[in-house]
Amino acid sequence: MSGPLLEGRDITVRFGRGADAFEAVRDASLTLHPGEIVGVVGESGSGKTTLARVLVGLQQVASGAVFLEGQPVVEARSRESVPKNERWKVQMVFQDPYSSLNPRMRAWSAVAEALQVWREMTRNQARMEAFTLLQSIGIDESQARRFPKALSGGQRQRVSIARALAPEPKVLIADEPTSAIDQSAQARLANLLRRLRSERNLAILFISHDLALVRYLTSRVHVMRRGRIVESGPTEAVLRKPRHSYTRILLDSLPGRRGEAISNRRGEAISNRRQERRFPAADGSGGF
Amino acid sequence: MKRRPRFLPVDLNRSALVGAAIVLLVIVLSVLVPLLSPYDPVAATGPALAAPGGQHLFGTDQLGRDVFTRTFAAGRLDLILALVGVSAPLLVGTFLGAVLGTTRNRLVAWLWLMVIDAINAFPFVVLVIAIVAVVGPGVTGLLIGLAAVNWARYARIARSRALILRNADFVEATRVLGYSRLRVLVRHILPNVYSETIAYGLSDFVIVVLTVSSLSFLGAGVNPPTPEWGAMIADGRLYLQTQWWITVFPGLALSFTAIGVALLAHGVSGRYAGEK
Repeated sequence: MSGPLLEGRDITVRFGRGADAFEAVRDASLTLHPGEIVGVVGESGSGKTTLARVLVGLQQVASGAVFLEGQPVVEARSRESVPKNERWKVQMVFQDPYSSLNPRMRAWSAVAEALQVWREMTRNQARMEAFTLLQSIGIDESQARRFPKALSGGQRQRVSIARALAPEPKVLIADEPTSAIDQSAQARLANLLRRLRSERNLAILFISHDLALVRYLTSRVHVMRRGRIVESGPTEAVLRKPRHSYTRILLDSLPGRRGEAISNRRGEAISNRRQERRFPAADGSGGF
Repeated sequence: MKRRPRFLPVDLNRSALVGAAIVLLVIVLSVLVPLLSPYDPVAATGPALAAPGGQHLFGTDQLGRDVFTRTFAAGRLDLILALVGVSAPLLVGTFLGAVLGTTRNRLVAWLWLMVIDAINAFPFVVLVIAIVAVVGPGVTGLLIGLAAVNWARYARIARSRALILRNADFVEATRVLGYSRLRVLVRHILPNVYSETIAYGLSDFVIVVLTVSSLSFLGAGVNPPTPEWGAMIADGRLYLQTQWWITVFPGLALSFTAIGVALLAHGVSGRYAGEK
């Protein structure tokens, strides 16, 4: 296997027409390989979410294309995005855990539905499997029987992840999955994503504006600004020695992290310690 | 405020409890009284215009029919009419609205919306009267009139709700998961639209009860001698100054029912509409 699992090539998304047209994403290209976590960072409105929606086929492109295992799945002017029988391969976790689950469906049921559709299970098999899957990512049976409104933000995000994992996808697009949940839940979710990558050889696109999380999770990172990818490269290198002035501004704008971006021994040491505190169960499988 | 008495399966607040009690009382009486009463609700069973008391609890009307029996026989008819007049349009309108809100066929959606808006633009009662006038008065005509007009209200609500839901993350997730359109409609859109239309349906119940009675009062509804609250009120209005009971008892029953249902609707609708 030579090429990337998922590739976005020169993606441009335009909203509106004529003089009012607004380019949410412009000429963005990125690749994802199996077992790799790639980050996308950028401020609000930089086009991160739009890019994610393109990759799963929720958003039409003005130009450019998305390739899945070398096959084009999203192209300009094609109305039907990712072909139906290919959809299971790329799944998505949405930013807002409060709207990403059907309020009238119990947690296990949302997962079981995806299992029934994609894994050709009977109702009962799917039900059992849903409980097992939820259990494996830290939702116990009593929580699985609840409606979303009785679950916390972090728990809902886990249910969303379980639902996305149900078809056994090859790629997971995680659109700021941690932005609406509290810090300790964020850390556990990050560890969960790490575990999924190693256990399932899952390729994950991790979209975030939390640079500490991005540094902890990803090997490569793309920095977006006003719809363009302005800087790409190995995460450590980009965050430690940003070449683009915008990346530097982004790093500097983080509260309490001033100076971290500029390569500086002391700053590096501080950030490492800070990360240890935030992600105690780094590679251990426990921690839930 | 949330209280949950042990014998109730759901949380009900005080308004809903009082409303439920009134409605339950009306239902029980409407079922039992015509069954147990020795009098035929449509036949003369005593002296005409007898005052309440003794043999005839609510007195008799100008034809000597027992007002007590008639009032609750009317209750049975009115409640059934209102139930059908609400639930049939609720089902049809909700489904249609949900489909219109999610379809990609813009032309069809637009045409249906024109029809819905045209119906909703007319005052409710006026349009029902017009249809009853064409179909002919009576229980069937009344039901046809109600159903033909009322579904559009529900369709409007369901459609606007579905338009919002269409862009909700959990519906987008179903697209990423590649679910069929039917599955998305039945399992994801409809259950979330229903909550909204049911909330409206509860308050609509009052409107429909009053419409049925108003139409019968005007002679465009249930045919005599079938007992119906509006028709009974109309019957008694000539005797109002002397034989008040002919009008007042069905009037009280109607008011009580309307108040009870309104209280119930007010108390329960929050459960449906307020939920996220």
